[in-house]
Amino acid sequence: MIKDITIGQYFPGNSFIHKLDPRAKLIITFAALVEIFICKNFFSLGVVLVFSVASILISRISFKIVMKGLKVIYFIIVLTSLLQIFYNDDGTLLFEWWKLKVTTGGVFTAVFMAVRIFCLILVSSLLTYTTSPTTLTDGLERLLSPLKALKIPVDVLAMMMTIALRFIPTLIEEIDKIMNAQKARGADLESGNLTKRAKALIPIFIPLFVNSFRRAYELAFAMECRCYSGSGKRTRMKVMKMTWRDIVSFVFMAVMLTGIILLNHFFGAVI
Amino acid sequence: MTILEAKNITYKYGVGTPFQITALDDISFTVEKGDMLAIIGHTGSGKSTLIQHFNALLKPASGQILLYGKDINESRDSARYARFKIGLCFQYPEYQLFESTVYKDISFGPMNMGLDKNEIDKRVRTAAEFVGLTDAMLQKSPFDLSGGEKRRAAIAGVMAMEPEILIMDEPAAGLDPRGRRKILELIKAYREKTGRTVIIVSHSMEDVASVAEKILVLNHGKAAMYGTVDEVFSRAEELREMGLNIPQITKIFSELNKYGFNLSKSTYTVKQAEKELLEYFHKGAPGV
Repeated sequence: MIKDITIGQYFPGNSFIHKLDPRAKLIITFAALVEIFICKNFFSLGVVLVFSVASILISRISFKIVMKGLKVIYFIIVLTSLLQIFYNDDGTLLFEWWKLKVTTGGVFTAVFMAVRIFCLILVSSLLTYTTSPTTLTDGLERLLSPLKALKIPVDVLAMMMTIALRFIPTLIEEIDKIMNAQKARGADLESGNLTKRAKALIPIFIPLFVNSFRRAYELAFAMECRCYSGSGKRTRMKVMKMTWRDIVSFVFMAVMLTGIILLNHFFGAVI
Repeated sequence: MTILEAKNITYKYGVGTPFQITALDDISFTVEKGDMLAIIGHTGSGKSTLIQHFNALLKPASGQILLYGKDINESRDSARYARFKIGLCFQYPEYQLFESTVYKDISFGPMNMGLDKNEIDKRVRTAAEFVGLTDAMLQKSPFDLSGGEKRRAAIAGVMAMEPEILIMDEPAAGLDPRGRRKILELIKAYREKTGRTVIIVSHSMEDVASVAEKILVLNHGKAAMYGTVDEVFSRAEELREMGLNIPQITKIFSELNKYGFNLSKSTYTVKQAEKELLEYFHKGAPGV
């Protein structure tokens, strides 16, 4: 069940998007999110939709996997669209039932919102699908390094993030193991009321915390043995370099941004 | 009398993804009441997956597990029944301790069975005595015990449920030689005293040789061999091909036999070897 969630997972590959510099990818993703938000009509929305789907195709990550990852989001998409349908009273009335009115404006906004959320998820999950957690935090560290001037320990924060991301799968596996062990001792995790269920979690979370602390100590000792210190000036094994791919992508994002602004201007706003 | 039967069990991990693996492939075997069975196999051969089936923690993709002739996956009640009748002690069980005292932790299982207070107390004390935990230790926090003591406390937690079949996954893994010996002796004593069925999973042939009577060998999710210790260890060549081995002492004896000695082929422990060699010398064997 927990293992089915693919958002945040990394799928190694060799595509154009995989090869982008992580810094560039972060900036582009941010730009794409902004562009999705500023869309005002179906023409500009169409552009970002094509862009999102095309990015997935370029990344060569199977659409099946992406759709599986979206499963968790479907509920949110459907709920938001439904609320939009019933709350928006603009446009002509399509039909009315009891106190609920469905208008063209409502339907338009509902579709608009659904597509927008869909694009947002596609674009943002593509970032983690195509970038390994370590490269991602590395990129983030480099992007934020100007903050060091303000005495913000960017490198230490980046290391913390790397470690946190690294241990997510370990923790999931561990929860699975502990749950099985306690079930084998007759723990009932699936029935009873809320308080009973909450109580049933104690035998799972206490060992989980104890083990996590133990592991944290071990890791800290191991890091200290290798002379890790947060503030040390480290060189990198893989030096990040912007290539023609990154430049092309930046130019493309800028063109798309201009395009969206023009489309918004000439075709009026739905939202 | 047959207590547990596995019928054509097949299990696959990651069905529908590119990472699909057949963990268990058409496994069938029976366990008789009172058996002392060892399941051995290379890492990734499906040992741990198999034993989780006996406890209804995993459901086979096809096939059945019969406890006293009844399918344990028939209903939720039958699965729960199986969990109380078949005690499963996972690898590194000390990582599951959670209560404030050892006593409370051991009583977690019996409590879930809905037993009354006196019965729970009796069972906790019997189990604790069995694994060699003193009354003073019972009142301690489980996190204050040493590694070997924690392991024994966790095992007591499963024993206190008094399961008809006790399954232990690598009970001696990660312990020092003395802790190892203690755990293995404890398992032997448990079996002798209660007469209950015990299944251990291990990849140490020495451990297996010292406790087991029957062996099931798994290889790539298939049941490769099933028989008595003699039967299985006599097929040393095949075992080696599966990345397994026979006990060192058995290997030494077979090497000695190549040099013209006439020693027993079914020597699996150092104790047996000692006896065998002494007898051999007493007889005034040729070549000595």
